[in-house]
Amino acid sequence: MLGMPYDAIATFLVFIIGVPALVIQSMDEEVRRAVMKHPWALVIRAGSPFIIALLIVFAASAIILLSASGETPAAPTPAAAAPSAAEQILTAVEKQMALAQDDQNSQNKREQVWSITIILLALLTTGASGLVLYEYGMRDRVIAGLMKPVLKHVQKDGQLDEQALTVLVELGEQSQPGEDRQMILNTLGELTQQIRGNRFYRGDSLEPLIDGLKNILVSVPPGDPKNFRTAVGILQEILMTPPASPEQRSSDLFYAIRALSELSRAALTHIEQASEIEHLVLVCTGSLQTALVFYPAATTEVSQALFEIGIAAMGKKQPLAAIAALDKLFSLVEENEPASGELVADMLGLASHFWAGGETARQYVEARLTSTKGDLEQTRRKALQAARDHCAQTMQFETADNLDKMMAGLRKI
Amino acid sequence: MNKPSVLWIEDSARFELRSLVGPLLFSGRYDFNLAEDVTSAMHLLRAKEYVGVIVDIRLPPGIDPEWRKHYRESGANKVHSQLGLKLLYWLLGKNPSIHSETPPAWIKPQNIGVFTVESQNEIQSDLDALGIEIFKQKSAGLPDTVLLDLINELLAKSKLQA
Repeated sequence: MLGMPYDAIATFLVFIIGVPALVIQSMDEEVRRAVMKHPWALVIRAGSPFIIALLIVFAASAIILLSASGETPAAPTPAAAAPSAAEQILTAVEKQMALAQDDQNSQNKREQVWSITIILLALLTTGASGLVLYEYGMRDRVIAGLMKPVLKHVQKDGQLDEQALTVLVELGEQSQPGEDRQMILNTLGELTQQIRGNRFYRGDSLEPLIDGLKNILVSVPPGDPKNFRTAVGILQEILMTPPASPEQRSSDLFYAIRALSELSRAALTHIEQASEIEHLVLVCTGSLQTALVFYPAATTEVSQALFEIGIAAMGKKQPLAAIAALDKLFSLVEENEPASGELVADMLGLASHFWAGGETARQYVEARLTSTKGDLEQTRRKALQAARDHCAQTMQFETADNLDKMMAGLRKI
Repeated sequence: MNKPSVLWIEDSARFELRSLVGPLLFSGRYDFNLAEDVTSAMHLLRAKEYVGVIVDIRLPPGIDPEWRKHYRESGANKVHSQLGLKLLYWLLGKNPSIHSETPPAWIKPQNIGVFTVESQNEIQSDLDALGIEIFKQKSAGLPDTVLLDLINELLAKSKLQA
């Protein structure tokens, strides 16, 4: 009675469900995992066209059923004198013809309704499949989709939605170094600019982002130099922008200093090309020093970061990177004349590793120490002793031993 | 006394970095800084004064949206976009429309040297327009001390002009 084209309808319904299933199947594992963190979004995106398709089919069926029930049967002929045989035959033929005409009309109507239904289903299937492919078929679109809730939150009150950010960061951690990871880093860069440009920004809302940035690059070697450069660029943006107001807090700055130190050390371990490491460490050490122009209170944090980078570079036999860190420490001591405390301990501590590293390195350090003699608050001997005690207390025993050697060596000179 | 600060804006000197920067650091005479894109350079130049700034012509934009736009508009290609030149035109106030920020007031043509792959003929008209006199072309056979020499030359000249 309905004349429903079951095959065609079933094909469209299978297609509407099948395309999202295929798209999910073809996603990289880490992208699928990220998408599945919010399964309802996918269920709604894939399920709603299916529901709409069913509603269209039900509506078409209802139209056909209603029109069939509304058809008026042929009116009975009023009782009269008994018709002749010829009249009876004529009436029967007319009746049959009318019935045949009715059947033909309802058949035409059914065909029209189902044709329109099939056209609607085809449009729906094409649109829904295209939309799913657009939103989930490419990594950059998936990332843009994950970014949406984070941005919405930022635009509202300048704060990060940590849960939504975590999904992005985890995707970055699990992505392959190179282009895949670069997409996430670019997104985090945009996010940083959005947050810093927001009128609610007070200098203390980037901790999860900085942490995520660091985790993405420190997580799995080998490292891609371009990924590292982008991350350093984002941290530079945080470090080298003057505070918008005197009330602005500086916690993001401290996290950025720590992250820059960790990134530099990760670069020394994860990046294979020595030239890329040298370039990156030179940029990082310069950024750390320059940050102090805006935040002089962070001198101790910066000197510690430079010390850590220098020690790691010495350990990895990267002399240019190590000298870059030591040179910045010498510059900081000069800029903070008369220098004292942890800044001097960090400078002497790193210098002692050069001292213990061979004759030429020792001569270099000796010359530099001589030129900074007047920049220290204490005598060199007392400063060395204080640096040695500081390193022993903070369990940097190797540096403390090297400082002992340097003290003994300098006494002889 | 603080050492004179110098800045090298350069992104591609990977392989010769140790030989070029090594002599500078070993000399201990300068507070040396490196910027590898225009955004970083802008941050560093905004933060403090440098007695010498050595600029490459072929530079990537970094993360600043305005510099990225210039880069995209010229085909996202370092050679064609010549962001180093655009940076100089902006820095020296010759074309303030390049970037919405105000360039640092301290920078003068005598603080700047250009060290690039382009030949002097190719960019001489720009150098003249900018008033930059110190130029060195990157080519084969340069000594390891070329960067140090360039900085020394720049500083000597700026002292003379001062």
